[in-house]
Amino acid sequence: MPRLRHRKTRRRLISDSRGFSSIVGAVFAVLVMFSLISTVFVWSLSQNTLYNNTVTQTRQADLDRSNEKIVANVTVSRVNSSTVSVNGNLSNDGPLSAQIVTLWVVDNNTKNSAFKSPLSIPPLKPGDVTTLSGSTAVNVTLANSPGDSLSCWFISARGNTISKNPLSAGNNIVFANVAGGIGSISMDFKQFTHYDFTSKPGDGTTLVNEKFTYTILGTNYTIFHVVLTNLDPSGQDINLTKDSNMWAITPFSATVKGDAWMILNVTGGKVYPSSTNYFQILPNGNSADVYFGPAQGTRSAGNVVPLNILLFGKLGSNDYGQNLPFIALNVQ
Amino acid sequence: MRSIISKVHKSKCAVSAVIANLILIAAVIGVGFAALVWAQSQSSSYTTQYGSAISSDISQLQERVVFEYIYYDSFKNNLTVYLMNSGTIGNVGVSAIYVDNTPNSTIALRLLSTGASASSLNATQEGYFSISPSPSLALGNHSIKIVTRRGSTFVATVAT
Repeated sequence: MPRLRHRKTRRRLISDSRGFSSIVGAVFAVLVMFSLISTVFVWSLSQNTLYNNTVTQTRQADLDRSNEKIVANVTVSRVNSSTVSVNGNLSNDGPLSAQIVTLWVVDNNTKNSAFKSPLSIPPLKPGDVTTLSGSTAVNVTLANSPGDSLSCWFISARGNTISKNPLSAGNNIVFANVAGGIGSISMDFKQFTHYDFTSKPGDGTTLVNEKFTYTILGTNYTIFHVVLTNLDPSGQDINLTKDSNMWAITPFSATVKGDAWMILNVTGGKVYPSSTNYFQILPNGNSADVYFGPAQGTRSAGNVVPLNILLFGKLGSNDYGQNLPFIALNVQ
Repeated sequence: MRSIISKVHKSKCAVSAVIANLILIAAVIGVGFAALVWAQSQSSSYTTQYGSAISSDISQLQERVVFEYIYYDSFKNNLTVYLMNSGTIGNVGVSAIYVDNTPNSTIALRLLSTGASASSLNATQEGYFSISPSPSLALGNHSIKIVTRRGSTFVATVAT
């Protein structure tokens, strides 16, 4: 009986077309609404995906930036009154390739700054070491005076600032060996220069006409300039006191004939010979310009003599003494 | 057949119902179409707004500015800030600078390579600008905050 009733109802619904248009209209309206909403929804989803992708990329870039590790074992030194040179090596100790784009150099005395960008340093792959020396040294135009303290830093393409790291783990071994053999202070042979004066320069005399020769005139008052680096493995500063000097002795003389040039106060490119108790601190891991003189080489005149640097002072709180026999000088 | 047609023509019965139905159908179609157009314009406006908001957020996310060097000349009361656009998007302009949270004068951005004035920095480009902070900076550490035109902020500290 109920089955018969169902059949009757179905037949009535199929045969009676009233209300059919309403159903079609409703379905049509639903389809239109669905297509509208789904279009907007899918589009919103694509925009969100775009945003999330950017967030991921940005995070990755930040992560890469924080993982970048370039070690700059470099020294910045004076070439002449308008040029400074950055020598040493740059090593990529990080897991990613890196590009160094800019070098900044600042004269800490005058606060003059200069930059070089772009640099011709090739991209550094992980583990790569590039040497800045000779033709690959980076020269920067910067007005400076003898004795000025210079500092430098590099900027990588990712935006990291790479400060000068005077003693890296790798170089410590070499430096420590050098320091263990000859002492904690090393001298840059290539930057040995001198200044000549026909009469003894007084306080405030400006250093001009720097000479890169190994010949001096014995009757002239000579000021020697060397670049010394404190490589002490214990990490302490060295204070060079007034007893530090540069001395020469004539090997062919029957009697001992020596000349000495005492450590000299040079500030802002001017000499102050009357500072008799002058001392100079060599910060650990840093290079510094050190001057000796003014004095004549009359006793050594007419000979080629060995020139020594006697370095005496304090290493931390202890006494420190070192003598560097480093150069042969023709005293005319 | 002809007689039926003439009968329909002559008979006035149910004409009003037909007309009413026609009017009703036209009204429904009209209102439905208007609703559809309105919905479409609303969704179009929404997508435009949402799209530009997302695009602006993405651009802001891609902005990265690093401070290469900041130097304050206390004699001239002149603060020079050297920047680099290290992000992945160009057209990064500086709209404001705050020194110790104090807004400062108009910024004239210049390119580091040429010194030419520029309104913005492209990716990897370096630039600089100088301002005269007011009040002048005392000895100590000072915070420098720059705000880009897209609204990103970057902060550094300078020791004077």
